[in-house]
Parts: sequence; structure tokens; C-alpha cells
Amino acid sequence: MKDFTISGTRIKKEIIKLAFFLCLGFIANIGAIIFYKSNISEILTSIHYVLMFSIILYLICAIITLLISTFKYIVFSMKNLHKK
Amino acid sequence: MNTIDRRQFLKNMGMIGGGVLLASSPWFSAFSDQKHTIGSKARIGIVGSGSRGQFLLSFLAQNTKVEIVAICDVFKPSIDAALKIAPKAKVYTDYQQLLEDKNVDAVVIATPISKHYQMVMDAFEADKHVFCEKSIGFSMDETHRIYLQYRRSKKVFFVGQQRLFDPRYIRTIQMVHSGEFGQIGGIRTFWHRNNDWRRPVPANATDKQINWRLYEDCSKGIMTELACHQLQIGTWAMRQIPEKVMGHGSITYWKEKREVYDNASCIYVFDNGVKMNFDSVLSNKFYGLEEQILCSKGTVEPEKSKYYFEEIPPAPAFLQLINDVENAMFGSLPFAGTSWVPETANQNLGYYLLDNKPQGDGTSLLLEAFAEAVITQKQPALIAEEGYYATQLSLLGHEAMKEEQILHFPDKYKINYLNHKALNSSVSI
Repeated sequence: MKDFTISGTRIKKEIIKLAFFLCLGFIANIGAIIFYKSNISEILTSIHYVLMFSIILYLICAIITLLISTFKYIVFSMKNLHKK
Repeated sequence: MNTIDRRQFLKNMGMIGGGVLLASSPWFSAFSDQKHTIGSKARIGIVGSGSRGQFLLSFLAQNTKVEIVAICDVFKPSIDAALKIAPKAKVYTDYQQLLEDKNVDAVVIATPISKHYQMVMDAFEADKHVFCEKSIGFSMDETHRIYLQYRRSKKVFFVGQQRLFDPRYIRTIQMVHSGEFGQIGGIRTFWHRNNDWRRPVPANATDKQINWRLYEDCSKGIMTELACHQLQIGTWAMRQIPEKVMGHGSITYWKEKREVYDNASCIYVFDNGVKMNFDSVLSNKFYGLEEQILCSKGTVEPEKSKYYFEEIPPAPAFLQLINDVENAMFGSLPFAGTSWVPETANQNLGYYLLDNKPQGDGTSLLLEAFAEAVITQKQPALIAEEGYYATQLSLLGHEAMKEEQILHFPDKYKINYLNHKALNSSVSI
């Protein structure tokens, strides 16, 4: 069985991606609090919604990346097959 | 409910260290001497040991301040069943003989309603304290005479309106009276069942002995059996007695050997125009029973032990944002119907009246209060009056349905309570 190797660069990329979505959720929450004139305490009390939002975005992004990689892999394999 | 539960209950309700409970439920004064009555016993006789009598007996038998000294019934199987709960009780088949028994301090009357009048009157005459199951009397006149007799007797008089001691209802009334829900705009009460009330008749009994609730000369059916409880909640919440009633009753489904209505609807109107509805259909139980107190700022449903504010707090801003984005993206699409809008964050789920589910429906506490009152010989405030008007209103509603007319509360049956003033002339007893 072939071993998969996750490189340090990939891990760093994924952490940055997740941190980006967390920041996005956090900023969206602050924006919503200002827009809907809600209580500032919702920065903390809605943190679970922000976390959930960030994870969902990250998973959507991961699925899209996986689909693109799979598509690229299939196209690459077919090209190689034609060359042979 | 045992002593610890009761103490905890009273504490929760604010009785200890405050008069909050007594303000909305003054009959709780019955417990004010409970420390001094330890070791004393109320000697009680049961008149009518049928199913309801046995139910009451089961609570009384557990009370260390109660001694069941006598049981009276004309139906032997009922006596036998009661003796299993209170084996030391002396047995009578004639209630008059029970009333002559000097060992009896008080009587609990749980007989068919048509028998109440003579039994209660005789009990007061015999110098006994009385607990009478609702409804007090079979007619408004009987009920009024009983009340006057009680006032003259200076004895303790309780009526089986157990909601007066039910924590859910006490909390409801406290909140309503505090103004938390704003002004009462209407009260909707209903009690639906899907059965004919008929019980199997043993070989040695007549149908009327067992199923007396279905016969017009023994019972007023839905009004005295069910409405009596719910109408009392209305007057308790409103702190007013309604002035008039209109209604309609019919037999629509359970037609066999039935003389009382199985389908009834009444509208009671208070002085300020607020209405209290009562509905009962005995061929559908989907909605069960409830008293819905509809106020300008909220709604209370004590039977479900829940309340709801009209203005619900908005969802967290983050959820509102997501809802709005979802609406903008999908709101106009004919997805599961043209009106489909994701608004789950705005559901009014309400709040619970009590932190814990209460034990029982107040019957245990009501009987404990009766025993305390018998021992101290002090009548708790307003409990007889609440029972009096619950009976009178249910009987007035029944009359309105029978006559198919709007009936005003007769002045001659008014007593000095809430918005009512008694006429000077009294009924001769």
C-alpha cells in the first residue's frame, strides 16, 4: 500500500486557510452586531456559531479542492495513457 | 407530596421570608401554624368512599396529622376498598350516624353532587368541619344556602378545588397579578376527552349508582365535573366575577343512556368586556385540557406549565445575518412552496413556569391544608369563596345552556367577594 505524505507546506496552508475562515466569521459577527444593533456581548456568546460557520466554510473549501485535484488527476492520467 | 417537598415548594414560591405567596393565594395561611400542630390529629370521617373518596383517602391516610376514624357508604365494594386504605375506620351506612359520632371532627364529602346539600347542611348542624368535593350544590340556591350555613357555623369549610394548591397555577397567578404579562384580554379554557364517562356496573349495583354523572337528576355533567375547575382559574386570575354567560350544550356523539351534554360551549363576560370561554367536546381528545390566559404582553398555559411573551428577544445578530443571506438567495425561489422562508431562529418556544416538574395536581396539599385548618379550627382566607363562585358559575353556565339565553349572575346569590356585594336580605335556612 502506498503511503501518503502530507508536507509541512500543506499543513501550513491548511492552517492559514482555517485561520482565514475564522477571521472571516469573526469579522462577519462584528459586522452583524453593528448592523443589527445587537449587544456587544454576542462577540463571545455567539462564538459557537462563528466556529461552526468557519468549519463549514473550511469543509466546503476542502471538498472543492478535492474535486479539482481529482479532476486534474483524471485528466493527467488520460493524457499519459494517450501518449503511451 | 411529603413534608420536605412541601417545605421546598413553599420556599420556592416565596412564602418563607415574604408574603408573595399569600398575596395571590391567601388560603396558604392554613400552614402558618404547622409547627404548633405537630403531634395533633384531625379525626376525619369519609362520606362517600367511591373512586373519588378513595383517591382523597389515599392522601389523607399518608398524613401523620390525620386519623381516619369513620367511613360511610351505601355500596359495600366501596367500603371494602376504603377499608384497605384505612383499616381501623368505623363503618357506617347512614351518614347521619357518622355525624353523631363524637370521635369525628371533620367530614370529607365525596358523594354524587345531588346528595351534597343535605349532607353538608347536616354536617354543619352536627358541628363538624366540612370538606366537600366540587361542585358544592346541585343548584345555585342550594349552594347559596350551604355558604350561609357555613358562615353561621364558624366551622372550617373547604371545597375540592385542588388547582388552588397546584404550584403551576399559583406561579401563573403570581405572574399574572404582578403585571408581567400586561392586561388580561381573554381567557380560553377547554377540556376535551374522547370517552363516554361510563364505568362498568357490577352485578349488585344499578347503573345510576355507578354512572350517576350521566344522569340529569344527579349531575350537571360537563359543567359541574370539568368547567367548575377551569372557571375558578378565570376568576382567580381576573380578580373579578363574570356578570353574564351565554352558551349551548348538546348530545352529539355518546347518545346511549346519557342525559347530560357531551358537547358544551359557554362564554362568560366580565364587567370590563373581557370574555372567558369554556369548551368541551367528549368525542375528541387531541387538544386535551388547558386554560389559556391571553394578556397584552404574553400568554400563560398553566396546564402545560409554560408561558410565552408576545415580543420574543431577537435571534443573535450572526444568525439574523445568515437568515437574511439565506432569504436573499433562496427566499424568492418556489422551493417547497412560494412562502417558504427559513425562520427557525424566530420560533416562540416559551419558558417553563417552574424549574422542576411538580408532583401531583395540588390535591395532596389541599387535603394537608384542610387537616391543618381542622386542627387549628381556623378557616383560611377566601378558599370557601373561591369554591362558592366556581360552583355558582358552572351552574349558571348550565342554566344558560338549558334555557338558551344570556343569563346575568343573580343578585340574590352574590356574596361579599371581589366585585360582588351581597344583598342585605338573606335566605332563610
